[in-house]
Amino acid sequence: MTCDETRGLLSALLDGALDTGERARVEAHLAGCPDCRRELDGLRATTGLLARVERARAPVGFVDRVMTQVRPVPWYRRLARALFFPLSIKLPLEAGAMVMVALLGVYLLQTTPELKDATRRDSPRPTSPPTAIERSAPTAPPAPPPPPALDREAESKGQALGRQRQPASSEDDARRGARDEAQKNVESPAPPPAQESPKTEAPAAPSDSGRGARDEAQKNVESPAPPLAQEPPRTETPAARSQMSRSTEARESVPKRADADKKGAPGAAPAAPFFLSAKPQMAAPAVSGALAVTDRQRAEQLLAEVIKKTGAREIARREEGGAVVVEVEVPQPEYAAFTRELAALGSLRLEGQPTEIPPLVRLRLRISE
Amino acid sequence: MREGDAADAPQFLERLRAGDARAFEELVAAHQHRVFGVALRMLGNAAEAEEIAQEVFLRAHRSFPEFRGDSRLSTWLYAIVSRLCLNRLASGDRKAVAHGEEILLRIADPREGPEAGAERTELESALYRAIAELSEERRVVVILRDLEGLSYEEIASVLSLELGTVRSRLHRARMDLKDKLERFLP
Repeated sequence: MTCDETRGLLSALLDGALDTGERARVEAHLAGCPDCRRELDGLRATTGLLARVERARAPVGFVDRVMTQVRPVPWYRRLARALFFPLSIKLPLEAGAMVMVALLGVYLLQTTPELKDATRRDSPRPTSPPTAIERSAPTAPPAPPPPPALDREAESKGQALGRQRQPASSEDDARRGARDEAQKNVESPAPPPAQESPKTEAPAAPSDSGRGARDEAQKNVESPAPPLAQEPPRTETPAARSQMSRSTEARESVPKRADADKKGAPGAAPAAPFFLSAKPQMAAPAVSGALAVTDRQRAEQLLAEVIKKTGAREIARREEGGAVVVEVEVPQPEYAAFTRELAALGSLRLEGQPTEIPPLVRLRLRISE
Repeated sequence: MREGDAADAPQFLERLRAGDARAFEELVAAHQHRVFGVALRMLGNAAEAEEIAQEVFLRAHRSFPEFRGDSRLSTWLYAIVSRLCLNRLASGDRKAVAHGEEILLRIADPREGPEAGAERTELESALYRAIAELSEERRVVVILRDLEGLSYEEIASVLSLELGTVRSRLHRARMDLKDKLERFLP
């Protein structure tokens, strides 16, 4: 055994970790090699020094600190710790998130017309009780008045209709007509519907003759007013049939008025958005939508044709923020055809579907260029 | 038998496996100094050593159900603390601590007089510095053998090494220490 081989085993010899054969060979070499014996003595002294190293002691309270970490933490403390700790980081983050959510809500409310309308519809409307007279005077002040010729025509039709539907004396008609005009001029709150129903069928004021005829057409379909004793059943009398034909004429007057508008204001901004929407007077429309078109005037004409073709009717119209808002009611069987026709007018996006099968589907449509 | 070995009784192991907090507290109390000592000699920083020592016991607490009892609890804990220390040293994720800096400031034994304490402090300072200057793989072997008294077989088990590797590493470590501590040798 060489010195190098022997010295590689000296530590094991000191620790008694050599087997019997190795130990005998190492000891035989050490007996004749003073250098290796000196090396062994040095190693023994070194391990002796290491044995004097005092054992380190864990800090006071170490056991308690370990046990504190081991003990199960109640779920609510873990949750609170996860939510709020460290406070300096998580509280500002959470407060910032709340502010962001609030800002996002306001932004969505301001940029989404449907949400805006829904919010407005939920708010109380002091001057809009659901009466017939109110429906006959839709709040559409920016709409230009129809041409006088059309007014006179509608007025005469309305008067004739009033005479046909009200077989009472001409004095009564005259009184009702005068009262209606007065009410519309001052926009006073509508009387109770029981008194109002016959009035709405009286001739409309000259300035609102088109709308008066249209509202009569609405009543023919909607007929929310209680039947009057002296009023004959509409569907069974010639007067009612003639009223229906007039209501169709009234619907046709919508594109006529649009044409008139076009003639009256040829330079009007054609790119202005055009909205069709319901007047928020009764139940919310079952369907609302938006239709992007390239020509608003043309869209109005085509819409009137679609309304006529499908037997739908326009029940309200108003201008709002530079847009026209119209609400239509479509007979349920014609609803699919109606939406198909609308889709042909431009890019159509509908929101909501009738959850039941009502006889009439109320539809609000937004059309823009 | 080393400190804490009495805690290896089967009943005690059963209590630990069952999650007996009292048994675990006894285990921590019995092994805290040796676990902390290994971490302190390996890392050279008391705060870091306590952090590692606490982690050792937390891991042990989580792993008791899987502890089969093939080795002694102390050996098991040595294995955990050695692995954690070597990982910490290898990760480089350490606070800037000069090797052995804090160990050199050890407190003199109050049972000895001031002169003996000063002499002991100089020797032990040299010892700690010499140990701290060893490579990590030699340092852990010397600590486990010469400071903690583990057998070669136990060291091989703790560090998952061959017996011959333990023997050679220990020999080289001691030779390094002999050279560094020559002035204290007779």
